[in-house]
Amino acid sequence: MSRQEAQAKPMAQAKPLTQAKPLVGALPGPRSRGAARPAGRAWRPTETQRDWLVFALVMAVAWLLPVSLGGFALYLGLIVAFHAIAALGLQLMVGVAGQLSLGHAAFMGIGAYATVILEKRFGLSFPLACLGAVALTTAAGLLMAQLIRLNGVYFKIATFGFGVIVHQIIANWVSLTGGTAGITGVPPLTIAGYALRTRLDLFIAEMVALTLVYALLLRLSHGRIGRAFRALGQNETAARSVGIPTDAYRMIAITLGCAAAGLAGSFMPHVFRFISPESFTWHESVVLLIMITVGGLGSLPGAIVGAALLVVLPEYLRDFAQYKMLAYGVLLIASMALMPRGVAGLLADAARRLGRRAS
Amino acid sequence: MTTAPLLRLDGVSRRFGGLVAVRELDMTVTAGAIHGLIGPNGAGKSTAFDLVSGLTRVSAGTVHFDGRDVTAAPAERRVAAGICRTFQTPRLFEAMTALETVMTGCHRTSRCGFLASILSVRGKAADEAAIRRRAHDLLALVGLERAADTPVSQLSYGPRRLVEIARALATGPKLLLLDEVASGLNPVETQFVADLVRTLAADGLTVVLVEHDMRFILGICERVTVLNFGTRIADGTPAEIVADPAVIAAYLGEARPDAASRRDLRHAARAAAPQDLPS
Repeated sequence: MSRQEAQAKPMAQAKPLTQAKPLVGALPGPRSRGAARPAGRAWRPTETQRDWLVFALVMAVAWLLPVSLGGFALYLGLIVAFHAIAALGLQLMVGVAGQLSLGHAAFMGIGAYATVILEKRFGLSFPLACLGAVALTTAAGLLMAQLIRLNGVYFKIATFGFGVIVHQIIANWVSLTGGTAGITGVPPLTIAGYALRTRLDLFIAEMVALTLVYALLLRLSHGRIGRAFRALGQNETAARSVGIPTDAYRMIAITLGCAAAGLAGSFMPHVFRFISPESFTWHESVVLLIMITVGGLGSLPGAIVGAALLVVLPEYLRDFAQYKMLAYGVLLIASMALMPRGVAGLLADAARRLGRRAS
Repeated sequence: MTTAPLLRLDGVSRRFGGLVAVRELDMTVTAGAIHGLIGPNGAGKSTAFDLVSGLTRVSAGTVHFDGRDVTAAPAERRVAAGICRTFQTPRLFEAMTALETVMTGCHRTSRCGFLASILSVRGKAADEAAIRRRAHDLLALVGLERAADTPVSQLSYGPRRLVEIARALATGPKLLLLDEVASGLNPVETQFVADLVRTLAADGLTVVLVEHDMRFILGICERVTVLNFGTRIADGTPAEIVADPAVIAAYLGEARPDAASRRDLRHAARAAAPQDLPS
């Protein structure tokens, strides 16, 4: 009876009522959206195009600025580059997919030590050692994610514990890692028999890796897969309710985040020619989190900008070195209060305002 | 109307510690029907939805959907099978636009995997365009075409519900579970949703509604199941339900019948099925 009523009373607002099929079926309906731009309007990039424009801009600055300034700036560029790789991975894991890790420096540590040990003990060249290190960190990330199949705050606390454990292992397994004294005399990075002895060579190698990682994650963040990561990060129950296998996506986000940290870690000993457990304590993990927060949670270019800020600023505030953590804290609070969406959000708003004035 | 059951619950129970939220629930939903699930607060309606959609596992009993046993299937597999739901309070992705939110619903209907997402340029773009088009169509269906690029966090309550419905429809369901879809809506919006549900059912979609608003549910449903304290106390057409003493007792209490609410119930039932109602 109510069925008859329904057919007798047509609905006012909804349009495609007459064509029943595409609604329930899995295929998109035949109606195309009004894709044509209103005439006379200036060209507006789509979101994807805009992201690639930003990619080009950020990468151009990241490649050219340290090289053209040279000297100390180039050295800082070396440090920024590997931090940026780690921050990109962490951004996907934390900022996009919402899987907060408080022990991320541990994965850089695993990557760094694995690379050096594979190079020094087993005489592997850098590409192989790096591959091994990334595989090992990925495995460690998977192991962590599997061991602590926890949700919410429990996962966060467990990642903190994982970080502490890894740090303790590195500091105490003296025969393998040299203990708290660390490993000195790291050989120069060698690719296909060619040793990268100069800063510039090393910088180019790092930047190639950074560019690839950025491009890869940017590709992944667009389209269906990226949407699934964002859905997972913003409301897990809702994501499950629309058929996104959230357990699998959580695992993949953690794995990607850890793999990037491993890759970042494998460059680290070559930059400093030395590594010690001190570089992988919990507050290095916190610094990584501050990087992505100051840069703008969820923004890939933000992660790179954040990494640059948190590496470069302290170098110019050397006189206040003992207040470093205090400065980070103030920076974090100030950035959260003044620009809740980070540097990326601030720049995006500025760009929008400029665009509005221009049109 | 005798069609094969699309959804069948047999002796489904769910315990949370000592609390039995749903107790040995039997329920059959016919394909193409609009089925109501009602009951007083805390009767286990939303838990029943969680059990059907797979967000919570059953403690006992079986769930059959479309001829298959889905009791052990996780939520994403049930979505793939054709079950999708909305929530009592809309659960949206707060940093997304309305369009993007609906696009997440297309996750299962697209095949663009990790490798394709990285390597394929044209295939991915075509896939995205198809998803975008479909999401636009669904937004148009719920009357929100203009809000496509609005962040969902800026939408008011009614539109948020409609975005959630559009997102659920994007999964291409055979069975749509709407949890208190009319609550918090103004009369115009409620009427719109009622018409939308009828249209969807006329298109062959099966809809189960959990609802407090008796007038709404008795006016729209062909069959109603009534829960109280996790147990099914009645099942039948709206007219049968309204006349059922157990239902009246559950809603109004046996000792102090509330005359106004009773009148309300009868009025709604009359609107739904005038000639069936015992006078």
